[in-house]
Amino acid sequence: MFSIPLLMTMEMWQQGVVMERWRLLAYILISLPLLYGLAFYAGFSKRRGLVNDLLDTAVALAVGCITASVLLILFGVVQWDAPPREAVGMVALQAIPGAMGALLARRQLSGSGSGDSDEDQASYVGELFLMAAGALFFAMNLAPTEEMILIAYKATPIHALSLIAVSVLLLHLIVYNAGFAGQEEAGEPLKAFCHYTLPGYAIALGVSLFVLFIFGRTDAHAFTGVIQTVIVLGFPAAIGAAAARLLV
Amino acid sequence: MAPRKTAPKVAPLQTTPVLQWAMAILGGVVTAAIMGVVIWEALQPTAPPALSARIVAIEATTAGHVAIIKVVNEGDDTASAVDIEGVLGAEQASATVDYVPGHGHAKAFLRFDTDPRAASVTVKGWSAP
Repeated sequence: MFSIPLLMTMEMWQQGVVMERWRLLAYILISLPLLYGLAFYAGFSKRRGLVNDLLDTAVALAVGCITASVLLILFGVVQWDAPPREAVGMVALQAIPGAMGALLARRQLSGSGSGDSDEDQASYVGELFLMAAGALFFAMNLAPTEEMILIAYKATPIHALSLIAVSVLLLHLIVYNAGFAGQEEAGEPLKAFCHYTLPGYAIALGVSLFVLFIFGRTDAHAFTGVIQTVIVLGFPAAIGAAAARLLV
Repeated sequence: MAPRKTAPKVAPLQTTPVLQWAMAILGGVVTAAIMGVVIWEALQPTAPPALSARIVAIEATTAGHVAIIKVVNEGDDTASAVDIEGVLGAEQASATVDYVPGHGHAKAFLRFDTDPRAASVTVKGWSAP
């Protein structure tokens, strides 16, 4: 469910074919611990532990791979006579968001009543991790599209500054009102801002930069150009970071 | 900054206030830095795209000679739909580059029947993104 927008995005098919293999490898290697972390906080099974979480990660990856393969074949994007390199690239690229979606969907659709999850005891580091996962998921959905660089090209510095302000504001509102911050921050918006919103926005920007780099969107750009695009992608990434707690 | 109350959950969280303030400072610095870059950029005078194209390499393929063109934009603004034309005697080749970012570059390929070492490559026009 979560990966359908990506599966039906033309740029993702192209990226699967043209992306340099070392970038694809970096993307997969960095995604694996992230998937493991998500499995830790939102795994399929009730039982916890290293083995179970690893198992959940593997199951999610399998679901992601199978979903990506079946749907890409169904859409006629991966054809039977396609070179294996193309098909593997496209499926590998799509399998990660598919696996993330699988881990999150279980959480979303399994209904309420399972209040004994680890995320309730998530430590501060855990909260930051969830933010990074949410930011990555949202950023990945948008980074491959051409619109990101197009918006960045069209944006004037005023636009960029306003976008930063709106990103931080929305991030803070969601974080604060959705009770992301621990109980001790409940009556102190400023503290929540310092402890969650600012790090959260920095995480969103960092994740944006990483995703843009993976998709080759930072190549051949000047420093300020990269910053503009990071700010543009930082907007959905910030929303994703804030919404992570709601999703997981 | 006042010292925080004792962590409410479990004992190992005692160290987190330090981490939380460290992250707060890091986040603040990153956000301020990115705003600084944008403001700095806003204060610079802007220049329209200034595009130039040149041949950086030539490859002989089974489909003729391919000249690899590097298009450089010295201006601040981004150019889109950049038309590149190469002329070698009576032969012409052209290509369109989607975007050439400000102070960035892009690559294009022109195909010729003969060795295009002496071809002249020009940027014919572009549009604003």
